[in-house]
Amino acid sequence: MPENGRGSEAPGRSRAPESFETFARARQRRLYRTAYLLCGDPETARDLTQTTLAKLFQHWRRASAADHIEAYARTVLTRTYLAERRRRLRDLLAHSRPGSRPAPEHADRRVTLLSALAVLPPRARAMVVLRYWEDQSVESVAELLNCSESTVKSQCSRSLAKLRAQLGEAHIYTTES
Amino acid sequence: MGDNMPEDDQRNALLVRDAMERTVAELPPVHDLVPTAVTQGRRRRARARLAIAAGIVCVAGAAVVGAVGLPAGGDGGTTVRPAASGTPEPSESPTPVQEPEAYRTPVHIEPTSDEETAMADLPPAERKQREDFQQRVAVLLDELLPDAVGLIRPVDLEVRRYQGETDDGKVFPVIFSVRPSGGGSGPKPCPDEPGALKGGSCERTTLPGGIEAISYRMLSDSPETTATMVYFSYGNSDVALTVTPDTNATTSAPVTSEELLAVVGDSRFLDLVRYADKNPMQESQISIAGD
Repeated sequence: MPENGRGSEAPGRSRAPESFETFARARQRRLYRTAYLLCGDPETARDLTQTTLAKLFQHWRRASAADHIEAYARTVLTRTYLAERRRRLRDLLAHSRPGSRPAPEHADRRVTLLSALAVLPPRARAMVVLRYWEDQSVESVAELLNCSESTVKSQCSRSLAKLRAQLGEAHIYTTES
Repeated sequence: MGDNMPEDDQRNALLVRDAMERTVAELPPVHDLVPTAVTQGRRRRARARLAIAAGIVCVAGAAVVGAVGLPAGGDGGTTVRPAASGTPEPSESPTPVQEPEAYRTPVHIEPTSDEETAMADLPPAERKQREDFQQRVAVLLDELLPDAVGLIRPVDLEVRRYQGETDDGKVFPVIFSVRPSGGGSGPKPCPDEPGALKGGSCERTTLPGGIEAISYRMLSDSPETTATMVYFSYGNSDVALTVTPDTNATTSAPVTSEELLAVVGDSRFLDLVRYADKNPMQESQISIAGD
């Protein structure tokens, strides 16, 4: 697979300590993009990115000492997303919330990547984003999500087939083209 | 990525990745999230410290109670020690990060009726003035209101609207309104009749500069939740600051009348009121119902 130009991290490279601000300013856009693919809505993605950065700030000493600070940030982002989804699900089960934020509606009525991703359960969606957007190995995704490698493989394969079915053979449309 | 993947999966993965690339490429640039993240992070740290301190006190208290309750001699003489905190955090220096200029991402709310017009529909200069004002208000309220109200952000629908959102997802709508009084005589005094507030409370106080302010804590939105509000007059304006409950979580506004009166008595808050009084951004009281 070709290099995707999203900025790469050097695995195994030991890093000099970096200030939180330097790290956060350099990475916030990338985290935001990943968050957007996870939740499919710019506002929620912004909140998710901000919460992730706040958690990193809170534990900066530990985070900055990590071998792979990017991986640390990605883990915080993904787990925060999954926790938020669980919370929302609980809320939905507990109360009917007519006033809550509606599901994002994409301007284009055509099938889009985001609406295709939206049909996946949160963990499966996270696996797809981590594997195919963040280029993470099966092992890394399994570790991050506390599941087996075979689960990651089978879920990703099923999710890809679903996405393909949603998006159609000929074209994969983006949000609004 | 494609190691050991079936050919079909590899082809699908390529297409999905391509779609992802194109999807994120269309995202608009995002405001700098770092300043607000720093504020939120500091708050999280403070809360974590507080929780740990409270935990230690509880454990120590339990140990003392347990020790007193134990019979003397035998095993009862063994000291029960509070568990050492294994939490690998809160001893970091609180000031390693320089305070940047804060930006609070506004909460977007669509107008729900024809009478409601969004700030987005205003002429650019007017809109910018209100957005700047909201930013200043949000940052200051964030500093002055109790942490339990959460991170304060402007609401982009109206200049007077804000909301606090806590880490656990509670949302407390906040109104800060400064509008031409239309000839009113300021806030009414607290009612003499004890039952008039139906279990609520009313306080009157004098702010710096001799400004008379009145604060209510009253049932709002449900029989179990209360809102806290302060009213006063300033220059030619009627001023209101209100924190309302999170109706979905059935949680009262986590601020007392005393705390809200302290907020409005802060000189920086009064500076904002002074600015809004000189540069009115809301319609006069006569034309808007409901506040």
